[in-house]
Amino acid sequence: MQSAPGRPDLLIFAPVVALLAIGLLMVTSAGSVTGLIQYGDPYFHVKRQAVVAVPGLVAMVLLMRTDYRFFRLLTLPLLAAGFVGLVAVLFVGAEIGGARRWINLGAFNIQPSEIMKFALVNYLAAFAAVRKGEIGDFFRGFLPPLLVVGAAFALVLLEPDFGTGVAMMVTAFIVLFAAGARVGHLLAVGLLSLPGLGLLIYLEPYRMRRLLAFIDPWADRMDAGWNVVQSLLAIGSGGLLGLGLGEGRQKYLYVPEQHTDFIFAILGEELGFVGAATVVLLFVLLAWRGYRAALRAPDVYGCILAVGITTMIVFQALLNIGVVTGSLPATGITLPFISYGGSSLLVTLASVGILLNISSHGTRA
Amino acid sequence: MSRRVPQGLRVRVALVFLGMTFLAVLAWLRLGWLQLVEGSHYRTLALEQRYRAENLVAERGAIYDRNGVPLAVTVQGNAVYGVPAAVENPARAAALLSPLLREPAAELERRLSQDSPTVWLAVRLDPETAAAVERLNLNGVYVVQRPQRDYPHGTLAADILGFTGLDNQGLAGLEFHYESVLRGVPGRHFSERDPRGRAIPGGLSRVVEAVPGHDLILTLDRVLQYMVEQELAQGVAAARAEWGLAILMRPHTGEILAMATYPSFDPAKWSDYLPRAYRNRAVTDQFEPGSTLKLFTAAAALEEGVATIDTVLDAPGQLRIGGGIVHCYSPSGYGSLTLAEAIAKSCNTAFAYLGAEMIGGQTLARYLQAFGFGGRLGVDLPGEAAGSVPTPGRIAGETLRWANVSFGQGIAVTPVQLAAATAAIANGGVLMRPYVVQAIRAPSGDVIEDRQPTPLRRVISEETAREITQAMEMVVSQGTGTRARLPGYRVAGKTGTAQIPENGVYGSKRLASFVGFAPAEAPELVGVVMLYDVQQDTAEGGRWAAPVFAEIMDRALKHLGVPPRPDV
Repeated sequence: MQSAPGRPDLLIFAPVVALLAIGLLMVTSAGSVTGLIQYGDPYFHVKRQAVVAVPGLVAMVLLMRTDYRFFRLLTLPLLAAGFVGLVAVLFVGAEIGGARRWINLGAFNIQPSEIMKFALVNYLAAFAAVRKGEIGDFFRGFLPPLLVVGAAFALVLLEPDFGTGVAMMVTAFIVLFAAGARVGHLLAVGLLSLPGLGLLIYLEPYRMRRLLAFIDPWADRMDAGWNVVQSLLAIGSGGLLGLGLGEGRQKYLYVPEQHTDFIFAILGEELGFVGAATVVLLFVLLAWRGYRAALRAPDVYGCILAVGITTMIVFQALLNIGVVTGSLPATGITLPFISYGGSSLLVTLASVGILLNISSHGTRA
Repeated sequence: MSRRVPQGLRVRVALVFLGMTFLAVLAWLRLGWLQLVEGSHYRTLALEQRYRAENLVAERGAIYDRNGVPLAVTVQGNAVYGVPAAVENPARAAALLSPLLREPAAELERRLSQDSPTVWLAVRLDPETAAAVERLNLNGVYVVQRPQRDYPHGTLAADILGFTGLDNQGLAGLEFHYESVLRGVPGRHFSERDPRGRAIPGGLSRVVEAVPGHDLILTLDRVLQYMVEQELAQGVAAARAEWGLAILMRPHTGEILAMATYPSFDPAKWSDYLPRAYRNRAVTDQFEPGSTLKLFTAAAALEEGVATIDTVLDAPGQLRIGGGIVHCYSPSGYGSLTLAEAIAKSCNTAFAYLGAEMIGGQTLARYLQAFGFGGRLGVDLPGEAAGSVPTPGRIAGETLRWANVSFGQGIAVTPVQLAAATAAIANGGVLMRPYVVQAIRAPSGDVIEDRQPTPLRRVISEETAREITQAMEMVVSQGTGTRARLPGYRVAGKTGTAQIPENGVYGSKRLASFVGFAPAEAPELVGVVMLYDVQQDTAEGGRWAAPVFAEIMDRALKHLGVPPRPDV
């Protein structure tokens, strides 16, 4: 049954474009210091980000005009590509800081975990559409996706990329919940995995230190607590209105990863509470319109896919903000649309394109 | 239109949205707490960690001679420093730098391998060498401009001026003694910096300017200093002495016009010398003076009334006294001599009896101390030695000891003490404190401190001084010091030839000396010349030190415009 597409939801489009614009401004500002030091060009990062943003927007518009159900056909190829990428990265990935997260393809770096995030969401939506009403059944509805998600999670942990793994896992759980999984099943898996997670943290000394630094960052502010403390100092310095775009001081090597994982700290310093709260508001707006599109989707696949895409983006944003504001233990995770980073931006914009297409098929509630 | 998504699913999607919104509300609250409630606190903490101070070098004060001629100044110069962490191959870098910097490669390699952020490799480089170092283009080796001490007249007055270290801190001489005056107060540049210390563009910045050091204006006269150094060098060479020293002082004020030790050193390359080379021996070293001390024994006798200048004294070839034997310079002796003649002929036996038996140790010691011996005069130069005068009643062989002291043995004096004591005779009896800094001046030109001559005490009467002066004129006109005679000027002086004790025993080494002043009737200048370990057949002060004194005095008096008298 094909429904004639209507107009895509402009209120999904608007916050995304706004966030992308804020992101380019912030990468210009926050990336200038390391750009100048490492590449002799303060605009190095924003130039590269703009080069990815343009095809990203093109992909978004193209996918907005592509019937989302096309991706249902690609469920298994995408999932396979995700697994192949995650296995390959362990062998051919570029090692940066002791982790293999990127595959270097000459001009571009591909982060397989970014592809996997979408592949998983797409798979869960397709699964939910097939096993409509059976998700509550442990063996038929819950265990198969759990195994697929668990396998992806394990591969991401091997890179290792704990932050992305956790984001992926939680997004998958939220999608399963929305698709009708039993709360009891979710809780049981969650509780049973706690000792395992604890062990993972305990076995990796830097994760343990980060956890301790989260509990009291000021106790070890020159070492493990440095990132969080500098981030808090940056955000706090912003006050109500901020120091002004480009006027931040903490980006001068105080805040680490100032144009990627911790860009929100520089945003808080330069744009103040008004700017930071607006960014959160834009994500809430995206969530509202994204979940609204899910509710109005013409089928279960579209509904769960919309929930997955929206959750994937919004939850990662809230996780990042939680880390940067010292509310969650530090993990390396980017802020969608705003942080510098090619694959992430490309996949996120493409996903929004699909979300826009789903919204265009909306029915009156 | 019918609903195509089941109701249960719709409720769950709504719950997910509510959950996300709840998390967003938490984020807002957190942001509000951090930015609105705690904002100013974090802002202060952040500023405190970025706002750091850097020292600004204060310009070191200059040193001028009495006529305003610069003797030590601060200029921008080339220096080479290394950043060990950035040097790829310390051994190769050291090998390439070694010939340019004229430092052993091993030493340079050691410095380039140190666990230190930066190390100095060379300072005070000429521009050509600095350019050559830059052309090597070595990683971790850099040339910078930095203030450094320059001595425009090279080695002139090096012993007095001293020198400064790598950070322009005074290490010797006046540079050391007046460090707190010359140094100034370093300034502070407070600014916002990144963790590696680089300034943050547009950050807060505040400068507390450095306060430049004060200038010293010396009593030295550059021209006289040059003359003294030149004549001394020739005198040391002629006498084949190990080293020599000379002092030129104004008798009425204690101003030191020139003071030199030869051989000296180059303050710009002080590290090439052994520490003893940059000692100012006129102040830091003490010697048995020999016969020059007879002047003060005679002055004590006159002042105490135990003898007049015409009192006739026995002057045998040798004298048994206090269980020892004292010899006169003339093996057969002179029979008898007036006190004036005894000074002119410098006969030890006459003085041994005068000092030990007629004046007595107690009184002699008191006069010697009054003349400034055995204690520091408070000269404004570092490392002044006190010398030593025996303590009466506390020594074995008392009589023989005082007999020896009477003609300058068994007592240690510094050359500057000798100059000051001679000046007391020249100026009519008052001991003046010798000094080399006559004023301290702020960079603004305001004089901070204007030093006046400091009379320490009257030692002898004017009459005694006049009588000793007459005897000293006899030394030059007809005694042991005839080589100090000058056409046109009346010269008063005294020779000295001291045995140099080595390990407590007198050996073959001799210290030839001459002290005196001119013109005798109205003294303008006091001079002291000492030549250490004269390697000639005869080592007398009259033979080697007196001519040096005469050359110095002649040139100095003419330079000062003291007219020669046609009748002398």
